Amino acid sequence: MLGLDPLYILLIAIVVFLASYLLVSYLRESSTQKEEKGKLLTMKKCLSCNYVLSRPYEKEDYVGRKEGKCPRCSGDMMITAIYLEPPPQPQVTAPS
Amino acid sequence: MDGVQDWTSMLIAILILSSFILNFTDIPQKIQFTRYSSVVRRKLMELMEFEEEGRRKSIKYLKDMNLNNPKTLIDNYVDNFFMIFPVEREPTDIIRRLKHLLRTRDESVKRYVLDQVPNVSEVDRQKIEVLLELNSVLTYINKVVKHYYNLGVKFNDWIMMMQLALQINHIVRLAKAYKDAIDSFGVGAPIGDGAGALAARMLLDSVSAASEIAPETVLYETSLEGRKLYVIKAKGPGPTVGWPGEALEKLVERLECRISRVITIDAALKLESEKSGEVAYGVGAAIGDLGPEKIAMERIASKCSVPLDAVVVKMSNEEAINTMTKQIYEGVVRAADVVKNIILSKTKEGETVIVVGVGNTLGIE
Ligand SMILES: [Zn+2]
Repeated sequence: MLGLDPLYILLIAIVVFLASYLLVSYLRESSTQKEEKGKLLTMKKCLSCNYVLSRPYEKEDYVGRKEGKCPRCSGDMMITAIYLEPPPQPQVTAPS
Repeated sequence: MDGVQDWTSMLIAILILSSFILNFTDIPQKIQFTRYSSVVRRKLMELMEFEEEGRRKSIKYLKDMNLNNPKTLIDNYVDNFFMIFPVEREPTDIIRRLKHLLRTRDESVKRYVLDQVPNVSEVDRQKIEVLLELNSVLTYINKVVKHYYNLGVKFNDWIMMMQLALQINHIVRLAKAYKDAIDSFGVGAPIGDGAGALAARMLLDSVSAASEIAPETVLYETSLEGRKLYVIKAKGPGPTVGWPGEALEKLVERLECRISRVITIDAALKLESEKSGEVAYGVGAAIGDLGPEKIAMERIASKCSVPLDAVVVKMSNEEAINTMTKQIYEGVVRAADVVKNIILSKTKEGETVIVVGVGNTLGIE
Protein backbone atom coordinates (compact mmCIF):
# COMPACT_ATOMS: atom_id res chain seq x y z
CA MET A 1 0.00 0.00 0.00
CA LEU A 2 1.51 3.28 -1.12
CA GLY A 3 -0.80 5.74 0.66
CA LEU A 4 -0.29 5.91 4.39
CA ASP A 5 -3.28 5.87 6.61
CA PRO A 6 -4.64 9.48 6.67
CA LEU A 7 -4.79 9.31 10.45
CA TYR A 8 -1.08 8.54 10.59
CA ILE A 9 -0.42 11.60 8.48
CA LEU A 10 -2.62 13.69 10.73
CA LEU A 11 -0.85 12.41 13.84
CA ILE A 12 2.58 13.02 12.36
CA ALA A 13 1.55 16.52 11.30
CA ILE A 14 0.33 17.34 14.80
CA VAL A 15 3.51 16.04 16.40
CA VAL A 16 5.70 17.96 13.96
CA PHE A 17 3.68 21.13 14.52
CA LEU A 18 3.89 20.88 18.31
CA ALA A 19 7.60 20.13 18.25
CA SER A 20 8.40 23.07 15.98
CA TYR A 21 6.15 25.36 18.04
CA LEU A 22 7.99 24.45 21.21
CA LEU A 23 11.36 24.80 19.50
CA VAL A 24 10.54 28.22 18.06
CA SER A 25 9.18 29.58 21.34
CA TYR A 26 12.22 28.23 23.18
CA LEU A 27 14.61 29.81 20.66
CA ARG A 28 12.80 33.13 20.81
CA GLU A 29 13.03 33.06 24.60
CA SER A 30 16.75 32.34 24.70
CA SER A 31 17.88 34.72 21.96
CA THR A 32 17.95 37.97 23.92
CA GLN A 33 20.32 40.09 21.91
CA LYS A 34 23.07 42.05 23.62
CA GLU A 35 22.19 45.71 23.70
CA GLU A 36 24.84 48.29 22.95
CA LYS A 37 25.00 51.23 25.28
CA GLY A 38 26.47 53.86 22.99
CA LYS A 39 28.97 56.58 23.75
CA LEU A 40 28.60 59.17 26.48
CA LEU A 41 29.62 62.57 25.11
CA THR A 42 30.35 65.89 26.76
CA MET A 43 29.76 69.08 24.74
CA LYS A 44 31.73 72.22 25.56
CA LYS A 45 30.78 75.61 24.25
CA CYS A 46 32.82 78.79 24.10
CA LEU A 47 31.06 81.56 26.00
CA SER A 48 32.25 84.30 23.67
CA CYS A 49 32.22 82.82 20.17
CA ASN A 50 29.89 79.81 20.61
CA TYR A 51 32.50 77.40 19.27
CA VAL A 52 31.49 73.83 20.18
CA LEU A 53 33.81 70.97 21.09
CA SER A 54 32.83 67.41 21.97
CA ARG A 55 34.80 64.77 23.79
CA PRO A 56 34.09 61.53 25.67
CA TYR A 57 32.49 62.01 29.09
CA GLU A 58 34.82 62.01 32.06
CA LYS A 59 33.96 61.47 35.69
CA GLU A 60 33.18 64.73 37.53
CA ASP A 61 31.89 66.39 34.34
CA TYR A 62 28.66 68.30 34.83
CA VAL A 63 26.64 70.79 32.84
CA GLY A 64 27.65 74.29 33.90
CA ARG A 65 31.27 73.49 34.74
CA LYS A 66 33.74 75.98 33.28
CA GLU A 67 36.65 74.21 31.74
CA GLY A 68 39.57 75.17 29.55
CA LYS A 69 40.05 77.84 26.94
CA CYS A 70 38.58 78.15 23.49
CA PRO A 71 41.06 77.06 20.81
CA ARG A 72 39.70 79.73 18.50
CA CYS A 73 39.41 82.88 20.61
CA SER A 74 40.83 81.67 23.95
CA GLY A 75 37.63 82.63 25.76
CA ASP A 76 36.26 80.53 28.66
CA MET A 77 34.52 77.29 27.75
CA MET A 78 31.63 75.73 29.64
CA ILE A 79 30.06 72.27 29.48
CA THR A 80 26.57 72.73 28.03
CA ALA A 81 25.43 69.20 27.38
CA ILE A 82 26.12 65.59 28.31
CA TYR A 83 24.23 62.85 26.53
CA LEU A 84 24.35 59.30 25.31
CA GLU A 85 25.04 59.03 21.58
CA PRO A 86 23.22 55.94 20.30
CA PRO A 87 25.36 53.20 18.74
CA PRO A 88 25.40 53.25 14.93
CA GLN A 89 22.45 51.29 13.59
CA PRO A 90 23.42 48.18 11.66
CA GLN A 91 23.28 49.08 7.96
CA VAL A 92 20.19 47.63 6.37
CA THR A 93 20.84 47.28 2.68
CA ALA A 94 17.85 48.42 0.72
CA PRO A 95 16.48 45.84 -1.67
CA SER A 96 17.57 46.86 -5.16
CA MET B 1 -9.96 -3.88 5.69
CA ASP B 2 -10.79 -2.88 9.25
CA GLY B 3 -7.73 -0.68 9.94
CA VAL B 4 -9.56 2.54 9.18
CA GLN B 5 -12.56 1.42 11.20
CA ASP B 6 -10.32 0.75 14.23
CA TRP B 7 -8.66 4.11 13.97
CA THR B 8 -11.92 5.95 13.68
CA SER B 9 -13.44 4.33 16.74
CA MET B 10 -10.25 4.94 18.66
CA LEU B 11 -10.23 8.59 17.63
CA ILE B 12 -13.83 9.00 18.75
CA ALA B 13 -12.95 7.42 22.08
CA ILE B 14 -10.01 9.80 22.48
CA LEU B 15 -12.21 12.77 21.63
CA ILE B 16 -14.84 11.81 24.17
CA LEU B 17 -12.24 11.14 26.82
CA SER B 18 -10.40 14.39 26.23
CA SER B 19 -13.62 16.39 26.18
CA PHE B 20 -14.46 14.79 29.52
CA ILE B 21 -11.03 15.71 30.87
CA LEU B 22 -11.28 19.27 29.54
CA ASN B 23 -14.77 19.88 30.87
CA PHE B 24 -15.11 17.96 34.08
CA THR B 25 -11.68 17.91 35.70
CA ASP B 26 -9.12 20.46 36.83
CA ILE B 27 -6.34 18.80 34.92
CA PRO B 28 -5.99 21.54 32.24
CA GLN B 29 -5.81 24.16 34.97
CA LYS B 30 -3.23 22.11 36.82
CA ILE B 31 -1.15 21.90 33.66
CA GLN B 32 -1.52 25.62 33.06
CA PHE B 33 -0.65 26.30 36.67
CA THR B 34 2.57 24.32 36.25
CA ARG B 35 3.43 26.15 33.05
CA TYR B 36 2.68 29.62 34.37
CA SER B 37 4.42 29.02 37.65
CA SER B 38 7.52 27.87 35.82
CA VAL B 39 7.46 31.10 33.80
CA VAL B 40 7.17 33.14 36.98
CA ARG B 41 9.90 31.12 38.66
CA ARG B 42 12.28 31.77 35.80
CA LYS B 43 11.55 35.49 35.82
CA LEU B 44 11.85 35.58 39.57
CA MET B 45 15.39 34.25 39.19
CA GLU B 46 16.04 37.15 36.84
CA LEU B 47 14.65 39.61 39.37
CA MET B 48 16.86 38.13 42.06
CA GLU B 49 19.87 38.50 39.77
CA PHE B 50 18.95 42.15 39.21
CA GLU B 51 18.79 42.70 42.95
CA GLU B 52 22.16 41.08 43.52
CA GLU B 53 23.78 42.84 40.60
CA GLY B 54 22.38 46.16 41.77
CA ARG B 55 23.74 45.52 45.23
CA ARG B 56 27.14 44.59 43.86
CA LYS B 57 27.36 47.66 41.65
CA SER B 58 26.19 49.99 44.41
CA ILE B 59 28.84 48.60 46.73
CA LYS B 60 31.43 49.27 44.05
CA TYR B 61 30.28 52.87 43.54
CA LEU B 62 30.10 53.49 47.27
CA LYS B 63 33.61 52.11 47.70
CA ASP B 64 34.77 54.54 45.02
CA MET B 65 33.40 57.32 47.25
CA ASN B 66 35.75 56.06 50.00
CA LEU B 67 33.09 54.49 52.17
CA ASN B 68 34.38 51.78 54.51
CA ASN B 69 31.35 49.62 54.96
CA PRO B 70 28.92 50.05 52.08
CA LYS B 71 27.26 46.66 52.58
CA THR B 72 25.96 47.37 56.07
CA LEU B 73 25.00 50.86 54.95
CA ILE B 74 22.72 49.33 52.30
CA ASP B 75 21.48 46.42 54.41
CA ASN B 76 20.41 48.71 57.23
CA TYR B 77 18.61 51.00 54.81
CA VAL B 78 16.64 48.49 52.74
CA ASP B 79 13.24 47.67 54.34
CA ASN B 80 13.47 50.68 56.63
CA PHE B 81 12.55 54.30 56.04
CA PHE B 82 9.08 53.57 54.70
CA MET B 83 6.45 56.26 54.88
CA ILE B 84 2.86 55.67 55.92
CA PHE B 85 0.51 57.82 53.89
CA PRO B 86 -1.69 60.25 55.78
CA VAL B 87 -5.38 59.51 56.36
CA GLU B 88 -7.34 60.36 53.24
CA ARG B 89 -10.83 59.87 54.62
CA GLU B 90 -10.49 63.16 56.44
CA PRO B 91 -8.95 65.37 53.74
CA THR B 92 -8.64 68.56 55.77
CA ASP B 93 -5.03 69.73 55.65
CA ILE B 94 -4.00 66.46 53.99
CA ILE B 95 -1.38 68.26 51.87
CA ARG B 96 0.16 69.81 54.96
CA ARG B 97 0.31 66.41 56.65
CA LEU B 98 1.75 64.76 53.54
CA LYS B 99 4.32 67.49 53.13
CA HIS B 100 5.28 67.13 56.77
CA LEU B 101 5.71 63.36 56.45
CA LEU B 102 7.72 63.68 53.22
CA ARG B 103 10.08 66.19 54.77
CA THR B 104 10.42 64.16 57.94
CA ARG B 105 11.36 61.13 55.89
CA ASP B 106 13.83 63.11 53.79
CA GLU B 107 15.38 64.49 56.91
CA SER B 108 15.72 61.09 58.55
CA VAL B 109 17.33 59.57 55.44
CA LYS B 110 19.75 62.48 55.33
CA ARG B 111 20.49 62.06 59.03
CA TYR B 112 21.06 58.32 58.54
CA VAL B 113 23.62 58.89 55.76
CA LEU B 114 25.36 61.65 57.66
CA ASP B 115 25.55 59.49 60.79
CA GLN B 116 27.08 56.60 58.88
CA VAL B 117 29.31 58.70 56.65
CA PRO B 118 30.30 61.92 58.36
CA ASN B 119 32.24 64.52 56.36
CA VAL B 120 30.63 63.49 53.10
CA SER B 121 30.14 66.21 50.47
CA GLU B 122 26.59 67.28 49.62
CA VAL B 123 26.77 65.82 46.12
CA ASP B 124 28.07 62.47 47.38
CA ARG B 125 25.45 62.40 50.13
CA GLN B 126 22.68 62.84 47.58
CA LYS B 127 24.21 60.15 45.39
CA ILE B 128 24.38 57.75 48.32
CA GLU B 129 20.74 58.47 49.15
CA VAL B 130 19.65 57.68 45.59
CA LEU B 131 21.70 54.48 45.46
CA LEU B 132 20.15 53.33 48.74
CA GLU B 133 16.69 54.14 47.44
CA LEU B 134 17.26 52.19 44.20
CA ASN B 135 18.42 49.14 46.14
CA SER B 136 15.37 49.44 48.33
CA VAL B 137 13.07 49.54 45.31
CA LEU B 138 14.69 46.48 43.72
CA THR B 139 14.31 44.51 46.94
CA TYR B 140 10.71 45.62 47.27
CA ILE B 141 9.74 44.61 43.73
CA ASN B 142 11.33 41.25 44.31
CA LYS B 143 9.47 40.75 47.56
CA VAL B 144 6.09 41.65 46.10
CA VAL B 145 6.51 39.22 43.20
CA LYS B 146 7.66 36.48 45.58
CA HIS B 147 4.66 37.21 47.78
CA TYR B 148 2.15 36.63 45.01
CA TYR B 149 4.08 33.63 43.69
CA ASN B 150 4.12 32.01 47.12
CA LEU B 151 0.43 32.77 47.68
CA GLY B 152 -0.38 31.24 44.30
CA VAL B 153 1.56 28.08 45.09
CA LYS B 154 0.15 27.83 48.58
CA PHE B 155 -3.49 27.99 47.53
CA ASN B 156 -3.05 26.44 44.08
CA ASP B 157 -4.50 29.67 42.77
CA TRP B 158 -4.05 29.32 39.06
CA ILE B 159 -5.77 32.62 38.27
CA MET B 160 -3.34 34.53 40.43
CA MET B 161 -0.42 32.66 38.90
CA MET B 162 -1.72 33.40 35.42
CA GLN B 163 -2.10 37.10 36.16
CA LEU B 164 1.39 37.18 37.61
CA ALA B 165 2.82 35.38 34.59
CA LEU B 166 1.13 37.84 32.24
CA GLN B 167 2.38 40.87 34.14
CA ILE B 168 5.83 39.65 34.97
CA ASN B 169 7.41 40.98 31.77
CA HIS B 170 6.35 44.54 32.65
CA ILE B 171 7.68 44.06 36.14
CA VAL B 172 11.00 42.72 34.90
CA ARG B 173 11.31 45.65 32.50
CA LEU B 174 10.71 48.08 35.34
CA ALA B 175 13.17 46.31 37.63
CA LYS B 176 15.78 46.33 34.87
CA ALA B 177 15.34 50.08 34.49
CA TYR B 178 15.96 50.52 38.22
CA LYS B 179 18.99 48.24 38.07
CA ASP B 180 20.44 50.16 35.12
CA ALA B 181 19.71 53.41 36.93
CA ILE B 182 22.27 52.39 39.54
CA ASP B 183 24.91 52.67 36.81
CA SER B 184 23.55 55.98 35.58
CA PHE B 185 23.59 57.49 39.06
CA GLY B 186 26.99 55.97 39.75
CA VAL B 187 28.42 57.51 36.58
CA GLY B 188 26.89 60.90 37.38
CA ALA B 189 25.87 62.14 33.93
CA PRO B 190 22.46 63.82 33.57
CA ILE B 191 19.43 61.50 33.42
CA GLY B 192 16.27 61.82 31.34
CA ASP B 193 14.34 63.28 34.25
CA GLY B 194 16.82 66.16 34.22
CA ALA B 195 15.16 67.46 31.04
CA GLY B 196 13.23 70.23 32.81
CA ALA B 197 16.23 71.42 34.78
CA LEU B 198 18.48 71.34 31.71
CA ALA B 199 15.97 73.25 29.58
CA ALA B 200 15.63 75.90 32.29
CA ARG B 201 19.40 76.13 32.46
CA MET B 202 19.61 76.80 28.74
CA LEU B 203 17.76 80.08 29.30
CA LEU B 204 20.57 81.37 31.49
CA ASP B 205 23.65 83.14 30.33
CA SER B 206 26.95 82.33 31.96
CA VAL B 207 26.94 85.30 34.32
CA SER B 208 23.76 84.53 36.26
CA ALA B 209 24.52 83.99 39.90
CA ALA B 210 22.53 81.48 41.93
CA SER B 211 21.06 81.91 45.38
CA GLU B 212 19.49 79.15 47.46
CA ILE B 213 15.84 80.04 47.88
CA ALA B 214 14.52 76.78 49.38
CA PRO B 215 16.33 73.67 50.60
CA GLU B 216 18.37 72.23 47.70
CA THR B 217 16.66 74.64 45.32
CA VAL B 218 18.28 77.60 43.62
CA LEU B 219 17.12 80.80 41.97
CA TYR B 220 18.83 82.54 39.05
CA GLU B 221 18.08 86.04 37.88
CA THR B 222 18.63 86.95 34.27
CA SER B 223 16.91 88.72 31.43
CA LEU B 224 15.58 87.85 28.00
CA GLU B 225 15.01 90.60 25.43
CA GLY B 226 13.90 93.17 27.96
CA ARG B 227 11.94 90.78 30.18
CA LYS B 228 13.10 90.09 33.71
CA LEU B 229 13.54 86.36 34.07
CA TYR B 230 13.68 84.31 37.26
CA VAL B 231 14.73 80.67 36.86
CA ILE B 232 14.11 78.13 39.62
CA LYS B 233 15.66 74.66 39.60
CA ALA B 234 17.06 72.13 42.03
CA LYS B 235 20.63 72.66 43.09
CA GLY B 236 23.03 70.56 41.03
CA PRO B 237 25.13 68.72 40.19
CA GLY B 238 24.00 66.24 42.83
CA PRO B 239 20.91 64.08 42.19
CA THR B 240 18.14 66.03 43.84
CA VAL B 241 14.77 67.43 42.84
CA GLY B 242 14.65 70.17 45.47
CA TRP B 243 11.44 71.87 46.53
CA PRO B 244 10.35 73.84 43.45
CA GLY B 245 6.83 74.50 44.74
CA GLU B 246 8.03 76.03 47.95
CA ALA B 247 10.64 78.04 46.05
CA LEU B 248 8.03 79.42 43.66
CA GLU B 249 5.76 80.30 46.57
CA LYS B 250 8.54 82.20 48.33
CA LEU B 251 9.62 84.04 45.20
CA VAL B 252 6.11 85.12 44.20
CA GLU B 253 5.43 86.33 47.71
CA ARG B 254 8.69 88.25 47.69
CA LEU B 255 7.72 89.85 44.36
CA GLU B 256 4.23 90.55 45.75
CA CYS B 257 2.56 88.98 42.73
CA ARG B 258 4.16 91.43 40.33
CA ILE B 259 4.76 88.79 37.66
CA SER B 260 3.02 88.20 34.38
CA ARG B 261 3.66 84.52 33.74
CA VAL B 262 4.89 81.29 35.33
CA ILE B 263 6.24 78.56 33.04
CA THR B 264 7.00 75.06 34.31
CA ILE B 265 9.11 72.56 32.36
CA ASP B 266 9.30 68.87 33.18
CA ALA B 267 9.81 65.41 31.76
CA ALA B 268 6.53 63.59 31.12
CA LEU B 269 5.74 59.93 30.59
CA LYS B 270 5.14 59.19 26.94
CA LEU B 271 2.53 56.86 25.56
CA GLU B 272 3.91 53.86 23.69
CA SER B 273 3.00 55.39 20.33
CA GLU B 274 4.78 58.65 21.04
CA LYS B 275 8.43 59.31 20.25
CA SER B 276 10.97 60.02 22.96
CA GLY B 277 11.94 63.66 23.06
CA GLU B 278 8.63 64.98 21.74
CA VAL B 279 7.80 68.39 23.17
CA ALA B 280 4.30 69.52 24.03
CA TYR B 281 2.91 72.54 25.83
CA GLY B 282 -0.27 73.35 27.68
CA VAL B 283 -1.41 74.87 30.93
CA GLY B 284 -0.97 73.76 34.52
CA ALA B 285 1.90 72.82 36.77
CA ALA B 286 4.23 70.38 35.01
CA ILE B 287 5.53 68.43 37.97
CA GLY B 288 5.12 64.83 39.03
CA ASP B 289 5.51 64.91 42.79
CA LEU B 290 3.10 63.35 45.27
CA GLY B 291 1.18 66.59 45.65
CA PRO B 292 2.65 69.21 47.96
CA GLU B 293 4.89 70.92 45.39
CA LYS B 294 2.30 70.83 42.62
CA ILE B 295 -0.45 72.23 44.77
CA ALA B 296 1.86 74.99 46.02
CA MET B 297 2.41 76.08 42.41
CA GLU B 298 -1.27 75.95 41.55
CA ARG B 299 -2.28 77.82 44.69
CA ILE B 300 0.20 80.63 44.27
CA ALA B 301 -0.60 81.03 40.57
CA SER B 302 -4.33 81.19 41.21
CA LYS B 303 -3.88 83.48 44.20
CA CYS B 304 -2.08 86.03 42.02
CA SER B 305 -4.15 85.01 38.97
CA VAL B 306 -1.02 84.55 36.90
CA PRO B 307 -1.17 82.29 33.84
CA LEU B 308 0.56 78.97 34.53
CA ASP B 309 2.12 77.30 31.48
CA ALA B 310 3.46 73.77 31.19
CA VAL B 311 6.05 72.52 28.73
CA VAL B 312 6.93 68.83 28.75
CA VAL B 313 9.54 66.61 27.14
CA LYS B 314 8.17 63.10 26.65
CA MET B 315 10.06 59.94 27.50
CA SER B 316 9.51 56.45 28.83
CA ASN B 317 9.83 55.38 32.42
CA GLU B 318 13.18 53.74 31.70
CA GLU B 319 14.57 56.78 29.91
CA ALA B 320 13.56 59.04 32.78
CA ILE B 321 15.81 57.28 35.28
CA ASN B 322 18.69 56.47 32.95
CA THR B 323 21.42 58.57 31.33
CA MET B 324 19.96 61.16 28.98
CA THR B 325 19.98 60.03 25.36
CA LYS B 326 20.66 62.28 22.38
CA GLN B 327 17.01 62.01 21.35
CA ILE B 328 15.89 63.45 24.68
CA TYR B 329 18.62 66.06 24.65
CA GLU B 330 17.33 67.31 21.30
CA GLY B 331 13.87 67.45 22.88
CA VAL B 332 15.31 69.55 25.70
CA VAL B 333 16.74 72.03 23.19
CA ARG B 334 13.32 72.26 21.51
CA ALA B 335 11.60 72.69 24.88
CA ALA B 336 13.90 75.61 25.72
CA ASP B 337 12.96 77.18 22.38
CA VAL B 338 9.27 76.68 23.10
CA VAL B 339 9.70 78.42 26.46
CA LYS B 340 11.51 81.33 24.79
CA ASN B 341 8.71 81.61 22.25
CA ILE B 342 6.07 81.67 24.96
CA ILE B 343 7.96 84.41 26.79
CA LEU B 344 8.46 86.51 23.66
CA SER B 345 4.95 86.11 22.29
CA LYS B 346 2.92 86.28 25.48
CA THR B 347 4.72 88.86 27.58
CA LYS B 348 5.78 92.43 26.89
CA GLU B 349 9.10 94.10 27.50
CA GLY B 350 9.65 95.14 31.09
CA GLU B 351 7.47 92.35 32.48
CA THR B 352 8.62 89.62 34.83
CA VAL B 353 8.49 85.90 34.07
CA ILE B 354 9.31 82.92 36.30
CA VAL B 355 10.54 79.67 34.74
CA VAL B 356 10.58 76.55 36.90
CA GLY B 357 12.76 73.69 35.65
CA VAL B 358 11.42 70.63 37.41
CA GLY B 359 13.39 67.39 37.63
CA ASN B 360 16.47 65.68 38.92
CA THR B 361 19.61 67.77 38.59
CA LEU B 362 22.17 64.98 38.48
CA GLY B 363 25.09 66.31 36.43
CA ILE B 364 23.43 69.70 35.89
CA GLU B 365 24.64 72.60 37.96
ZN1 LIG C 1 35.77 81.05 21.39
